[in-house]
Amino acid sequence: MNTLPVAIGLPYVPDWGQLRAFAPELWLIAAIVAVLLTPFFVKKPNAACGWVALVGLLAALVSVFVVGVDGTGEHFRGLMVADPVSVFWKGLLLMFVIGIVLMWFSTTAPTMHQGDGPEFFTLLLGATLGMSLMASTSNLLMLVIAVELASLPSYVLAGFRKTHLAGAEASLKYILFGAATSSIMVYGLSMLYGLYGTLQIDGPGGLAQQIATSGGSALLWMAIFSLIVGLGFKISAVPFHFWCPDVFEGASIEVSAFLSVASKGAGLVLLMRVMMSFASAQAYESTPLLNHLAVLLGVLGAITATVGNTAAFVQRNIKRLLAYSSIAHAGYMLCIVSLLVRGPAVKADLDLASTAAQVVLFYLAVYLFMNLGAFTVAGLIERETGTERIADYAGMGRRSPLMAFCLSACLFSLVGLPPFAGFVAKVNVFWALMQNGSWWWWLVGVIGVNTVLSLYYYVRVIKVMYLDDSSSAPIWPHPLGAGVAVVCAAILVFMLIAFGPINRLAGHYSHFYGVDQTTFTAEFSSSQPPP
Amino acid sequence: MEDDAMMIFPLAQTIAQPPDAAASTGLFYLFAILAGASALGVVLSRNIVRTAVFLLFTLAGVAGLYFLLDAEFLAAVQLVVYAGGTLVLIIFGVMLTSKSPGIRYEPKIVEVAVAIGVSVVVAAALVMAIVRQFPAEPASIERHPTIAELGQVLLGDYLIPFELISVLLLVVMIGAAYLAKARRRGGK
Amino acid sequence: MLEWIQRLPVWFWIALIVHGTVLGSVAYLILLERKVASWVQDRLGPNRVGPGGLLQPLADGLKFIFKEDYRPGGVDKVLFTLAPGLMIAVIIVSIAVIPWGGTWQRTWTVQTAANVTDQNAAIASQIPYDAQVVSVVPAQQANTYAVTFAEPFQIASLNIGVLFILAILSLAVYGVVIGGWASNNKYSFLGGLRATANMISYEIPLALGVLTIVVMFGTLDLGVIVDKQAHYWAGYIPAWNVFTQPLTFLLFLVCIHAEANRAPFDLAEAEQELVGGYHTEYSSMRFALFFLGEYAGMITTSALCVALFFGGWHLPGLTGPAENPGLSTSLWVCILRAVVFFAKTIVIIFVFMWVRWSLPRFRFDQLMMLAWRGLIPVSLVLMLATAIVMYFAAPLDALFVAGQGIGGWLAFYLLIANVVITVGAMLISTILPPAPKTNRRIKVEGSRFDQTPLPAGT
Repeated sequence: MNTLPVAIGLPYVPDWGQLRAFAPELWLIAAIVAVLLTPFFVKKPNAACGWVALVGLLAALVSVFVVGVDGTGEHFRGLMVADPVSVFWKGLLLMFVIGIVLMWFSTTAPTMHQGDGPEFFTLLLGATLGMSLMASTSNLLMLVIAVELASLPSYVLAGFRKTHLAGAEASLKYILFGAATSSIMVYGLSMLYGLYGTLQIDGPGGLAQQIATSGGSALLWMAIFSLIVGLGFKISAVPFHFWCPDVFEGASIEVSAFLSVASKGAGLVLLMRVMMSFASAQAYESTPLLNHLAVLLGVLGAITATVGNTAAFVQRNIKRLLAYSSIAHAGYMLCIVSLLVRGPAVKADLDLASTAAQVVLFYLAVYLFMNLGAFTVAGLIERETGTERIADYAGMGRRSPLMAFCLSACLFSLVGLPPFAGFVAKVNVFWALMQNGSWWWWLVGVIGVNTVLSLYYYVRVIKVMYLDDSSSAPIWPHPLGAGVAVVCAAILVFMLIAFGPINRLAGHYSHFYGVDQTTFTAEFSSSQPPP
Repeated sequence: MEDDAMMIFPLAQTIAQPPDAAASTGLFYLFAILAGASALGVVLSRNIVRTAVFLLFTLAGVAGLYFLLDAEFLAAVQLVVYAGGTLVLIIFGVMLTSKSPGIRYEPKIVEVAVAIGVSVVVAAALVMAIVRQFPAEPASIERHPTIAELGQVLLGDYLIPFELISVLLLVVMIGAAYLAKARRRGGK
Repeated sequence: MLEWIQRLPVWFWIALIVHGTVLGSVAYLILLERKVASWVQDRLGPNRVGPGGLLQPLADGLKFIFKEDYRPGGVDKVLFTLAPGLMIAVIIVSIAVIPWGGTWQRTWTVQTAANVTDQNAAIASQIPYDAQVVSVVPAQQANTYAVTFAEPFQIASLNIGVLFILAILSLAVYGVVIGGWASNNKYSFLGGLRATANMISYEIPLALGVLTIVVMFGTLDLGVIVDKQAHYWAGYIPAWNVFTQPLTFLLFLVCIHAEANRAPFDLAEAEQELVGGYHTEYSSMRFALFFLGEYAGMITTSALCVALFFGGWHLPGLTGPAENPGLSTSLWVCILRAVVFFAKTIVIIFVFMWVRWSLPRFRFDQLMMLAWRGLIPVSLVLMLATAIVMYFAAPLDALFVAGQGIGGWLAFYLLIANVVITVGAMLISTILPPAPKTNRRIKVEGSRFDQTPLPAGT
């Protein structure tokens, strides 16, 4: 138990097959190096770095599709996994970051000090690398490294606009919060290692299995709490959400957008993987540990959603509004994660647990586009008018009909109204919760009330845009950014129409490696029926 | 004659007394008290520079304990990285800012209560865990003391984290350098 | 009684003697320093107390003791008192792993009781400390054995010796910085800050230089590193690392100068700018401890330099058997080795003094530039080159494969690598873009750079 995984004295050169599964990460690392070298060849490196980063991200995205999921699952002596969930997340993340870079071209690029580009894109790609690693590890050591690799560049990104006082404050707040929570997390993980003598979460002899056999203890609960603290910070679950509005307000718009989806999504995928390992090691039985975990996550989700929505009511700034809305959405998704741990009360099995994962993945996919669209429009309007106040959006329906329409589409989708994909995502959530019955009905109620509440503040923005009038001049957004916004809105509609196939895709990819190896390989070849 | 001796005493090569038990126990208490007392000092001291200096002694005490456990490499690394590296920067920062206003932090009574509550719970859980889960007699520990083996593990089983940490450090270094760059005058 | 003393571990005696010698010799190093200064400056130096000024250190010491122990107001009393102690404690601990004289093989007669069955345990119980037993030979009398030990002739033989010295020396900065801060004096504080920046910058190339040697020998044990230098190339060239790694030695020498905070790196106590630097407010024995720390630190780093680059105790006639040159059965040989080692150390210290009185002080930006733009890149490349040479050439080297150090051809390749890097660095430095001008003349109002007329009435 206390020995190292493999006999000492065997230096290890990973072969091509091992590396191949992580081609996206390798492309990202190559892109980081390329971005750093760009200023040696280009006089004004900002835009050039943007293009280099874009090429790197595209290459990584293509490699995700090319490589796909390989059936072997475990890599690098169990330190990393390349399973359907991680591949799905990587695809989403890379698409999203490509959108962020395009958004950067249309919003911040002209105002960024010439020469800061290399740093900006190094940090952005570094954080992306960390977030994609977060989704593909089930080893405590790698988990810590991935979380840090995702967090540390984000802190700098939050304060990247050095001349903005709000940015400096946001960055500082973010660092202090992040340092505190990640140190708590590392402390908890060290306890796990001390208790069970292994860094591996799943697999034979892994943490999850040892926990299943030895049962809970006070120390174990402390460790789990601290893990939830660390990941809760990334997800911005409620007691750890304070950084979120300030950072979103202080950071430049594409950084806010990046953090709103990528950081949360990576945290959720990692949380899902850990919880899934716990649940599968205990064979989805109704053990006290799993029950408590489920209640913990469910309550956390309900509180997060409620706090996010109520706080969003009083916001006057579009970025703060979107920040609280992102907190609320994180709450919805946390509610679903609570399903993962405890299979349904009626019948416990893997299928419904992976259905929960499917719901989260679908939700993440939709959430990505609606947030990207909303932030893009906000960024474009800020660039043209220099304002982030919602009140200044008055008359936008006339001043820039296209932007107003795109923003409205994204906001309606965020509420969960048809004809946008947010609707099916929300319905999915309700459906999954109701399937499980028992106390999850409470969550159904909470989310229902929250959805109604959220309608008010999202629609208020739309009301300001279309009904309030203003004599301000029309604005002409940057075409690239406008394109991103339009594409997002279109995708939201498309995802509603093509709901069935996309949901099936999410179901297809909602499998974790190590959860149940036989079902994993068997089910991965056959597709899941839509719910 | 040598061979003869080896035949009679095949274990002669390995005869080695454990280090003087009394001295080792004494040193254990010395280092443990050093680490513990200065950790208390870190928490209780109101002067932030003194806090940092107390932290130095805590780290040094822990390093001493590592030495007693025959984990010499770990001890040396503890000294190099934490005591000699990180803490210097902390002390640097603390000293440069310690004379500025607002440095005295007076916690509210509620905060003190919460802090005490949390630490009591954590301490109780730790003590319970140590009492329950660890046997009174230490199990014989398999030693992996040599640096060569450590290096091979780093470049073997843990090759990927090792390489990723270098990417992490590169990115973070760039970020730190960016933040430390002088604020431009007249910029936007 | 005598028996008891004889059975004390060797390291105990070495500790007594080494610390006595080091602390005692510091006083005479100060005299030497003043003499060197006077030679450089073409004057006589101290010559009044005793014959040729030989009793001067005694007088200095007495002066320190009888001076008033003055502590200015507003200082942090605890830290003010702690700082000099910290400084000297660190230096004293770091001397522990210097291998003064290889390995001394000594033999004891051990008598066991007649009726024990497990003779091994009986013998073991009579060995009072952790020593490596080489052989146990039965003597003429029954139940009597001659037990031979191999005792490293050093205070503590750690298998991470070099790392230990680096680790402990990295703590030396605290004495300076805490002393500077606790004095509640801006000059002292500035001195402390400068010393910190200086020491942590030069620690990096220092460690890289040490690592280069470690890469060559594959061990962190200083004793082994010295033993592996104790042979000859081509029959008469001593196999010291200074001949294979001259550039590394040069970098190392520069770094230990900087670590000691001595001229030309003495910005921490630049008299013209900071009065006395971090020890401005210290007087009497507290000041003496700082002084002691500085010189004892020089002895440690010079001893490390001797061990790494000058073969430690190695001189013709002092080596043991070829397969284990560090071994000696004679206590006197070991003592002689220690003397040789110390003499070599004094030579390096003389270089320290020579440099101090010959070179002017760096400006702060030059200091940083030398470390970050000069020493660190070059030492990185050096380490890489050494690693490459070792990787390809070492398996062909019979001596190296036998684990007895660096053979002639391997040494030659390493020397070539050093020469190539030296030339390469010189060539590259000519085409490198100039460093940013950090020494801007900021026009402080009223200074000589400020040409604006002063407002009327001043």
